[in-house]
Amino acid sequence: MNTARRQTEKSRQQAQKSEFYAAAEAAGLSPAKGKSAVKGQYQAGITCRADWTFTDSVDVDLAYTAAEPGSVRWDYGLGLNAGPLGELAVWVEPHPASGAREVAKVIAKLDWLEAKLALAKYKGLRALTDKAAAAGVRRFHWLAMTGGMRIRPGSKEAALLNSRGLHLPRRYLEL
Amino acid sequence: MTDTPPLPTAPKARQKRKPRPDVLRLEHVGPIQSAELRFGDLTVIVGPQATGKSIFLQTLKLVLDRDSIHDTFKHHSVAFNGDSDAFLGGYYGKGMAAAWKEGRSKLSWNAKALTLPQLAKRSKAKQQDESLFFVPAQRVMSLRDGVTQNFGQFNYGDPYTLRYFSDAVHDLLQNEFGAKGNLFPQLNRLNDTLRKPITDHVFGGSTLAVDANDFTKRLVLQIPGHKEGLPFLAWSAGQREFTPLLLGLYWLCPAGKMSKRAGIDWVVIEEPEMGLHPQGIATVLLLVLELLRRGYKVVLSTHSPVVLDLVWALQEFKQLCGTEADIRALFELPNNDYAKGLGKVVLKKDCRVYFFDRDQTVRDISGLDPGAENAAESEWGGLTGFASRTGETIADLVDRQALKPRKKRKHAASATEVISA
Repeated sequence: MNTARRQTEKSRQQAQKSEFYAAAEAAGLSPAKGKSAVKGQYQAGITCRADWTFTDSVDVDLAYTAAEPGSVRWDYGLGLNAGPLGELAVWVEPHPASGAREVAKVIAKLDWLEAKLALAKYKGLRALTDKAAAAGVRRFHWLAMTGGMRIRPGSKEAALLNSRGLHLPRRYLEL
Repeated sequence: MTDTPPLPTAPKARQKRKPRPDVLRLEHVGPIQSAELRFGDLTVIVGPQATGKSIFLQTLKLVLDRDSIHDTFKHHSVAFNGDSDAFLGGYYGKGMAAAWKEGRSKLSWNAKALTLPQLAKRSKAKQQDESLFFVPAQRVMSLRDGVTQNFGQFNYGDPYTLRYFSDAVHDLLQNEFGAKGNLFPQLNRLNDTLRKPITDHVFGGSTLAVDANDFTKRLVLQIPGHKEGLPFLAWSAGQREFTPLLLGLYWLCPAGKMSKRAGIDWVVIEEPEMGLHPQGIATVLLLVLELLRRGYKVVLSTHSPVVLDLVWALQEFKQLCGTEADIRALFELPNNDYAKGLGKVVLKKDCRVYFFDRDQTVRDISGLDPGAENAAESEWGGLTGFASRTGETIADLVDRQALKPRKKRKHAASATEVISA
């Protein structure tokens, strides 16, 4: 393949929407390239392994601010091109871990997100999320980059998180 | 309310100056590769078996109480005739002289270089009182069949710390308590705020008594409604372990107006949690706070995350401007003057935690940050490592089950349940 053809192919691929992008649009969300939907302060805390890339991302919290001002909303969804596993969706909630009470808030956010993923218009995002689970990639992540970390392994709060498929909050995520 | 001795006060000029922490450094001594500990008011050491924790603590005792130890051996007619290996075997335990490797091992106390062979000989000082009281891990051996043992009832090669502790408990029972029938509860020993959790969580309403029948003072538990006292070997493991510890605490917390045992500044307690349910461990930790209140520097070795829970709480309370009320809430203490005073004092104490790992330099993990990048700190020297793995394995399994029908995941908590809990 010569250089001109390679560039054309690359442009064509770039012009193609990722599965995550298409699924997010179908859900009525506004996807953004790579991790760019994630606030700048959190982007450095979310990385992926060297042979994977972020395709697109959504700020679900922002998307529902006007429609559901009183609800406890999850923050971000990210599309991942996971090499031979194909494209997957994972969900990240940057949230302080300053005390045991934050666990209840994050679980409430997860309930909210799971209710959204159960909607018909989220079918595509749900499929990508289920694909992550099937591939052994954790779907939901709690990021607590700064501040106190006051949830200790073995505690009642840790057990509540684990029973919902969540690990304890992490300072940095490598997906 | 009884027996709440006044807190020790220091001259004003001394109160202003924050003293430098004492530092003990060991290199290539037994299994210890390199350890430098800066002692706080409360210092906790953790680590797997055979990583040198006990050697380190015994060395602290030897450094501080060298002459007192030599005098005690002499008092009991144990002579080493200048043979340092024999002394080290008699002090640490038979065969332990090999822990010191000439030319390789190093030891210093507050930057002053020392050697174990040097400490194996008495200094030229006239007399030196003991300054560290050591409650050893083998303390249950001090009460064989519920009968206290004196120094001479042990053999050469049994650790000095066990022999001396046992002798102190023996002396306490034979002399200070004399003919008193009940050892616990004792109205003039420990504040009733401390006695209640001991009754509730360790003795379960029984009283600890001395049975002097058969011309031998034997400890028994008197159970309400029972005619005869329960013999030592019929007690629970936790009660057997706790009782010598309680007697040691009686020794350290004299009756009356004295807040401390004269001359004693340091207390080492090895594995205070032995045999106890977490409620019992919390009770022992409350007694540790009492030692801190009385002005002792306390050093603990432990395999229990409950002990580090206390240090974590104290660190966080200080950082978050917690008050004595938070200490009372932690230990479920009543709102009385004693408990308030205890809380106020312990919030001012400096706490440190060190991790002894195999073939590694000892690490300062005092932050105990569960989010720390360093697993030694985030997993509290391995004490919460298994709990972490358990939780993560369950979380991963829950995640994998996500694709299965929802009815199979009925046990997962919903936010509604959590919030209303």
